[in-house]
Amino acid sequence: MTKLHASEEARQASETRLAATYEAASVGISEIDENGRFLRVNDSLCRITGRSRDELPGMTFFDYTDPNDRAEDAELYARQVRGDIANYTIRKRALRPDGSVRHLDIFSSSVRDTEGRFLYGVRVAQDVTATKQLEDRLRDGEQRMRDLLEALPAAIYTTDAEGLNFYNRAAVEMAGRTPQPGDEWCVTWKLYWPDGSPLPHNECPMAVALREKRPVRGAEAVAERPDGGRVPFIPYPTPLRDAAGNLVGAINMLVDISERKRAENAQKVLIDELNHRVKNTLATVQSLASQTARHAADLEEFLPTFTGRLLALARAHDLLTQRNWQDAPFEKLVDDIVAPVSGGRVVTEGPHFDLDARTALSVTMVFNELLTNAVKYGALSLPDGSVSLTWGVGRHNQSTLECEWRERGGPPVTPPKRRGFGTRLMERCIEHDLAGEFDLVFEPEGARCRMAFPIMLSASNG
Amino acid sequence: MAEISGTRVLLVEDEGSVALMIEDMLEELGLKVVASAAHVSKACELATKTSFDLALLDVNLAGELVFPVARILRDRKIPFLFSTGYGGPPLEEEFRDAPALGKPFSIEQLSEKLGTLLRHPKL
Repeated sequence: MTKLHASEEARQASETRLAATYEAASVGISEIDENGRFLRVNDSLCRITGRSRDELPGMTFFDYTDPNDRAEDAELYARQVRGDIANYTIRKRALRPDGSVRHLDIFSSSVRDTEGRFLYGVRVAQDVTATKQLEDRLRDGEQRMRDLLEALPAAIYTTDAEGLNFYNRAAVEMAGRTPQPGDEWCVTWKLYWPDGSPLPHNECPMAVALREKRPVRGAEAVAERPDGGRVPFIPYPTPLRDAAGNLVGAINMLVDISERKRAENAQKVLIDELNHRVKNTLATVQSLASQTARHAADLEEFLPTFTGRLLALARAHDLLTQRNWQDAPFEKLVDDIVAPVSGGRVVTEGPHFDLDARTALSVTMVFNELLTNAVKYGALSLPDGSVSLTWGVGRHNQSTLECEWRERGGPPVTPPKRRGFGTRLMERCIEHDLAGEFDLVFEPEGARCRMAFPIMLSASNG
Repeated sequence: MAEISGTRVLLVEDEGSVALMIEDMLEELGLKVVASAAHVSKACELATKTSFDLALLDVNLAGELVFPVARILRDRKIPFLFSTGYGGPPLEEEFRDAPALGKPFSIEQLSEKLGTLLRHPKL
């Protein structure tokens, strides 16, 4: 009798211990029949599902499963009961009586007899609601980051050990192509150094950053698109590290500097142009000085003539700088030259015309000469003399400006004994420089000068 | 400058007063300007058809560069001298070694450059 008693005691101790373990587990453990009905449950399952020990045995696990997850769970359990699968895991939502939702990870398996017949099912349930919420927050956070990166106007992409793993819309636009995940290590089609020499993708700043595990700054390159267009840019590749400090990839931002390059170029052109103008102006002054000297009887005659020419040149420049060297209005030019000297005896008439810089300078020289001669020898040397200056669109050619300078009431005219610098200059300016026509005749009533020259056709000139 | 007396010159220059001055300088040195132009198109025409011994080419003609004219002259094996208002930057690559004179220049400087040009045409 003692042996039986001893083994009975041992069995009871074992059972008690098993029950204690069963109950002490912080995961939900249950035994269920082939229909999913609860045969036995532990406290943790009650806690997790929010139901009591009395309620659960009357239910199946389908009863508290979210309707959207029920079908999958049912199908898998049926296969398990049949023996098609030995076990399965599923993550599903469970509804508590108070309406709250818990996310459960379920581990389902079977207990079978020696013949393999299904006896009952064992299910372990782990409440992973907190973990799921964390995962969701992380995913939302990641999505927010992606949205931010998408919204930035600069091209941004990231790589890991296998190549490209993210790129934003701006990157696709800049590259002119859709990059492939796994591309090494750039979004661009073809790359060049600023001097035009080819830059292989595995030597680009991003590749250097990854290889040498450091940010690369101060580089500049040119991306060529499949359509042939080229975009100059500055890259900012920066390695990315995990919490332990290991390199896990890199992020790169490509800033399009086309506008900056355009501006730099425009400035260079402008400065070259400026250099050229200044040198030409100095050569012009040299010419004015030497020519005036040639035809002046003495220094007393030289200085006022030379100064007059110099000032006329300066006035033309004034008009041009006022309008940023773009153009000068003809009527204003005429007025500026004539007004200081004429005393109201030069009558001008004609429509508005815009002259380009070169034409304006040439025309200035010409009118200055005509005026100076009129004052020294012509109509304006006498109080009753007058000049009429009229202009308009060319009669035979819409893209020329014709004008006529006519002197009256001056001393009797005798054609000049030899061509002075002034006449040569005027002829040269109009006929040669402007490809126009110049005709100076000395009629008995006074000098008459007709000229015509091309003007630019623009909105302001009709 | 006996050796260059009577030499015929094509003058390409777009600034009227400067052209007059250069013409006067050349005349004083005994050369003769037989053709003159202020625009690239006219200069190309003259460079192709006219007969002359050397050319003086202003690099910038109203915004256009004069190099097409220089190429025609090089093909005809006629020596030329660039006159330039640009500061330092080199002329176009293919003409980097061509003789050039910076504006403004004196008659002495012009004379020296022309002398070298005619003695060693470097064609």
